[in-house]
Amino acid sequence: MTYMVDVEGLSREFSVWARTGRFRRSAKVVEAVADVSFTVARGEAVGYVGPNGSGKSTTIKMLTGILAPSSGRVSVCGLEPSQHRKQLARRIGIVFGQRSQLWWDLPLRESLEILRAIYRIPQARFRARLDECVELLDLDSFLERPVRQLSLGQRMRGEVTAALLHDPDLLVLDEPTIGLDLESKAKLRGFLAELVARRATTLLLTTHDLQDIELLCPRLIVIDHGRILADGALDTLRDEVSPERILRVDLKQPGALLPTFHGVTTVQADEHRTRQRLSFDPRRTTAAELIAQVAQVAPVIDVSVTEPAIEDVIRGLYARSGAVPAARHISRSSETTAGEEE
Amino acid sequence: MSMLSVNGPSASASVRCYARLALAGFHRAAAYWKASVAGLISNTTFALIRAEILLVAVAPSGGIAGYDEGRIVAYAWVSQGLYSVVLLWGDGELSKKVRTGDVAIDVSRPWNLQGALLAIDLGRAAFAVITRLAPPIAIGALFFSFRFPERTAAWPLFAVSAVLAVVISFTLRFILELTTFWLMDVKGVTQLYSVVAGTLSGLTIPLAFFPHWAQEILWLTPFPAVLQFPVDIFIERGEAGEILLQQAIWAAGLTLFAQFLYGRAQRKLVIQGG
Amino acid sequence: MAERIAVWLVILRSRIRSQTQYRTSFSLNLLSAGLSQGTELVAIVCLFAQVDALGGFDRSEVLTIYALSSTAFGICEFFGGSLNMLPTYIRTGTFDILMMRPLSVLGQLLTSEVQLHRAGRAVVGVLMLGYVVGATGVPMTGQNILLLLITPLAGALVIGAVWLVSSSMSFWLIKGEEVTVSVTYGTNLLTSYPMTVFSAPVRVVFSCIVPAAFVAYYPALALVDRPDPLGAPEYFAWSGPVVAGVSLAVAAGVWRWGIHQYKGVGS
Repeated sequence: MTYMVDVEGLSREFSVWARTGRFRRSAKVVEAVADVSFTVARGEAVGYVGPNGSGKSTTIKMLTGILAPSSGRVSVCGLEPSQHRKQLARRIGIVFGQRSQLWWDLPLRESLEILRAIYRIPQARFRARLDECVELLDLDSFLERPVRQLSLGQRMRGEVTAALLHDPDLLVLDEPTIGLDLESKAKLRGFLAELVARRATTLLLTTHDLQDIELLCPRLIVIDHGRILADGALDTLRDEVSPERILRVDLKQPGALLPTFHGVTTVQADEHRTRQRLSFDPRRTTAAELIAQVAQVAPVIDVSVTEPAIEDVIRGLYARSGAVPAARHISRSSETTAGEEE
Repeated sequence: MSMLSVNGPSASASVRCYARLALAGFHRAAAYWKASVAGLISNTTFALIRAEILLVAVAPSGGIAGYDEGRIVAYAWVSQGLYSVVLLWGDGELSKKVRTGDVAIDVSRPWNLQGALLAIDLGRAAFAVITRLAPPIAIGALFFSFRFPERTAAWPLFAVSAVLAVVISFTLRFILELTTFWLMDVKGVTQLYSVVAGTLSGLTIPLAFFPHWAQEILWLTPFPAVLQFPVDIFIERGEAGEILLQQAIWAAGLTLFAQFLYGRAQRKLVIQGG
Repeated sequence: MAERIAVWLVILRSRIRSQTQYRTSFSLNLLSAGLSQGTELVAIVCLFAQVDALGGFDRSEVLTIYALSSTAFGICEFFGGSLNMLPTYIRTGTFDILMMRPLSVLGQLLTSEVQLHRAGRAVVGVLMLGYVVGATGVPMTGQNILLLLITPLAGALVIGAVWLVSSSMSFWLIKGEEVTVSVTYGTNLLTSYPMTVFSAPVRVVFSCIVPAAFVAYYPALALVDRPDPLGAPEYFAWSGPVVAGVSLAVAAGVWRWGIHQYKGVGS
């Protein structure tokens, strides 16, 4: 099987001049990405998650051929990105949440027309693609408006359209929902979900907003300090990192705390103890068993089981990994008078 | 001066406030010292080429319009350095703020905006004296027959004249940017200003080289006061007292006019919301 | 190939259309561009009101040099002025967007900010060229006409090469704009005057960075039919295209090196 993205031992170092004394500077080598390996199969939707400065954007730049790796191997759509930048460009679409690829002083439609020319898209295919996006993303009301007059939500819908015009095999989205209001976010997520489901477009998504991942990406790659902390299905990661579930029980009458057993603990109880939250490990006690046990002790009105939120899973991953040294000093100091960090 | 009056606090408190702003202007310029170094390269290049062109014109004839070799060399290097100090054209920050509406924040602060921006600009200019004016003078003196002022008194007079020039240049820029309140697009106007201001203030050739009729007209404008006048004091050409008086009149008049215009702009902001 | 040209035409057309939205600014900007080139003309005219010769050349001879230089610089700025945007594009990340498209990055950069008002400088140059040819009685031989056609184009390419090299500095320097400005507009000033005006050290330093004398000085000597007081051979007047070719080759190499630097290849 060939992969859309195939990355092996990928590393990228930057040297940064740092002032270490009054007139001393030394080169500090920062490993933005360190020994990253993963593959993405055709039609997969993968979330690439990490805090600011974790190496997400550096990875994206290497996947798109904007930056050459210091070491390691990258293959995207079967091409080596920094060698075959132009060929690759025809096969991938990129959306940057914080940069625009549209022409700010031209109407949206005209920007799209220029992209049609740049990517040499046949007129009929362009029409079809545009019509589809206009309908699904509601572009109609602002297609003729200059890009600089669009709201952020409208502009992002335009950006996504622009990235999809040439039917890319791989769509890379770098923080696509950043700064969007709730409604725009929902609309964009719905559109992308459908894209994955219907067109089998491969999706690689970096984001801060974990809801994006939850709704769009069955698979998650977590990166921190340039290293991959975890790679797998969200559910698997959840079971692995924080398997506990919470059972909420509403009791008919006020009473005592429910007795705990089999590793079940009381997490929270209100004043009258009519609502209590119990944490349990499904590998030791199933929810059904627990509910049955509780019902024997006191009359129950309502129960609900919740999984830990994705935020907790990721926090758990970071906590588990501990601190990974991000930079190491290289003793290449030089005596110079001019010194400013770059 | 009325522009330094801040509602409420005592005079000494307001002086402290503006002094602090000037310091901030200095620090901000210092933070971008790399830009200053690059700018210095540009000043030096142009001063060098300009000095050689003018020298070739002046040297064989023994002197033109009161400029001998030493004076023309000093003119070339001092005027190129001084132009970064007075800053003939700015970055359009205020104009941008007016367009985006961010200016409301600045206007609502308990200060006189014009006074505050002037204080910041004076701080910037002070830094430019060190990085953009002093080095070209040193380079010019090292490689050319550079004429330094003969009378010691010329130095403090030059300093006063340079400060007045900064005030006048700042006020002209301020007025130009204020027009954003009334005109939608001031880019064209500012660009035109940036092109003509240099030549009209004596950056290309000394104003004394212009035909007489052009000089007569120029003396009626504030342009010579921005650059040519302080340079004249440095090369000891003309009556220093008279030059300073003219600069002071321009500084005061333009400041009052700018205050009037700013008042109108403020009213427009309050009534129409920008 | 035809398809490729069509792409660039679409881009160019759209860039031009976007400007027609600001008509008032356009005429003011055109005026500014013309005046900024005219600044040096004012200086030359004023100087010649005071002296008869500059570096051994009279007014009409200096004006011929100035006219050739202005035309070359004007053409270059008209087509290459967008190079000034490179530092901004690198800082704001727009450069990454250009790198993501299946087109030449340099081509996209050159067409990113096509501004018609930049023609102002070239207009001043051409008008002056017309004036000096008419006023000084340059004989309209076939040779001279050919020289008048070739020189501004070759000069524009030489200046363009210098501009490309100095812009490429932004790949290494964060605040490279001022250096670029001093090199390009400094070249404009330098090439507007006879080489005899400048002292030997300045001539050597600048000739090493920029083949400045080939832009206007040597061809102008041929037009006014004078030997070079500094002793350069006569065929230098016709060497513009060759010098332009070499300069462009060097510039293209530096640009490619800059792109490599940006991508971080082998660093």
